[in-house]
Amino acid sequence: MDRYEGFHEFVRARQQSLMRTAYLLTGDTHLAEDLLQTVLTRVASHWAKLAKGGNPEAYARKALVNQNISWRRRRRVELPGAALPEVGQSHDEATVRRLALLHALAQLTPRQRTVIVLRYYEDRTEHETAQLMGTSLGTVKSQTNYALSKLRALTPQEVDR
Amino acid sequence: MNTLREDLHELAAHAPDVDLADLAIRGARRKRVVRLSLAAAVVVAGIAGGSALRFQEVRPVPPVVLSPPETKALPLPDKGVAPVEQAYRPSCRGGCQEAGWRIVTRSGETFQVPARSGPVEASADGRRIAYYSEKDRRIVVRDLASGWIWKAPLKQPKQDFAVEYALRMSPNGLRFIVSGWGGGREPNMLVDVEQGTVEQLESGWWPVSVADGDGPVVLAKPYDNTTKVWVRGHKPVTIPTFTYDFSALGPDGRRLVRVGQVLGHETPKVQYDGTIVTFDALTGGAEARVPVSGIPGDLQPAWLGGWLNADEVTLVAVAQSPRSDISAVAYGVNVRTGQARKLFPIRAKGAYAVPGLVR
Repeated sequence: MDRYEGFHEFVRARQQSLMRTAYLLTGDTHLAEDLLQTVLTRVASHWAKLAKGGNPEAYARKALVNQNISWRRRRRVELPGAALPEVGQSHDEATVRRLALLHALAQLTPRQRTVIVLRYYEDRTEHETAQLMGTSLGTVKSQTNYALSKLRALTPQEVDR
Repeated sequence: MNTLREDLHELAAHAPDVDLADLAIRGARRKRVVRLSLAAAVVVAGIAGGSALRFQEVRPVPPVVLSPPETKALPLPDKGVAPVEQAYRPSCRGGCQEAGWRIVTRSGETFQVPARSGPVEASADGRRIAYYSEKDRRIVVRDLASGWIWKAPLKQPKQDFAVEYALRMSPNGLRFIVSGWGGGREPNMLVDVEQGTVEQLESGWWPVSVADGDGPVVLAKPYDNTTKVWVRGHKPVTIPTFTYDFSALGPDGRRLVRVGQVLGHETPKVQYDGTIVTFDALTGGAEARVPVSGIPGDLQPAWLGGWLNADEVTLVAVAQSPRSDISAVAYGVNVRTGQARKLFPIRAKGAYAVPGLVR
């Protein structure tokens, strides 16, 4: 039997969703790809067990979050070409706002950025966020507050609307 | 908040299309092959000469055609070890979870540190290392030459090191700050293993450097576009940028150096600009910015550390692309001229420590 039976199907179904989260977590396409590849390699290594009764997606998402936090210093080195990709319409209000958001996200600490992505992109509860990050509910609450305060200062139109 | 949600979704839509299944499986297979090869090699090594030969006749060890696994490192001897050049965690091949930290001495030997989790740091002169001892549930400081060990008078669960943390040693290694973020406890403690004292530091401040004895402790707190720098005992000063990237406090007790950075105009991100900026940590003034020279173009200054002499600090330059073959190189950089001289390449792409580095 193929040790990786079903892995391709899992990746095909979920990789784009995971990639979007990875991109928001890192803010950089190359790092996001590196991050997701690292995580999927780990998933593949444990595939036999995960496919039997584990939850591969939950495992992958948790690994994504924690691997990214552990890469925190590396990510602070901004890469050439890490700008927001072309969106088709230049400099309209929404584009400028999103550029500002991208900039503001880059100013957050990795954990603050993670709580914003999990709470407001993936719409996870505080409890789920705490579980994914392996931290306490209180820390999620406080990090969310810090992150929103910082975003409010940097891009008031995002948070106050 | 709906705007934030919508804009996050809009940004996420710019994530590139990828197909990583085959790459991931190849990576997993490679890890498995190396793991099995390692296991076979251990079995072979464990069998006495003749038996080993017979074993090989029946079932020869397959040649490892992929990247060779990390070589084994000897356990750290009780004493008589040369100063540390760098510490690193071996890259993730063949069961790296258990590999733990290694140190490389200036005389070129590599030893396994008796620390499986948590930080490993070295004093700026490389003569003492600090690491978390799971057995003692505390940080221990070890003098490599004499083998003398000081145990911190502060017990810590290993969960303190399952999250983000920092361990900042004083130049002689007998005083350190241990901080953590993200766990339930978030310690920020100043520990003196010689005096046996522990002091709670102000929460929310990030450790920059700590001097020996009762010398100055420097903390920093970044805000959106500024950073407060506080030499305890003096008033905090504000510098006009968001940064964590400082050197240790200079031997004169005033000078601090930070890595220069700019806000890109076209790419709205903070980018290192290839300079270092010296300033007076007590007044916030007397800024002097110099471009760093003597570093290859594909590397850029990223972190600073301890002072090597009155005008030179440790600097680590990192590859601009994570795909580069070189991960990082340590230099000594003259803070007046910006001229860098190469010290040694960093061995690991993942976790590593350089004596006295502030990161």
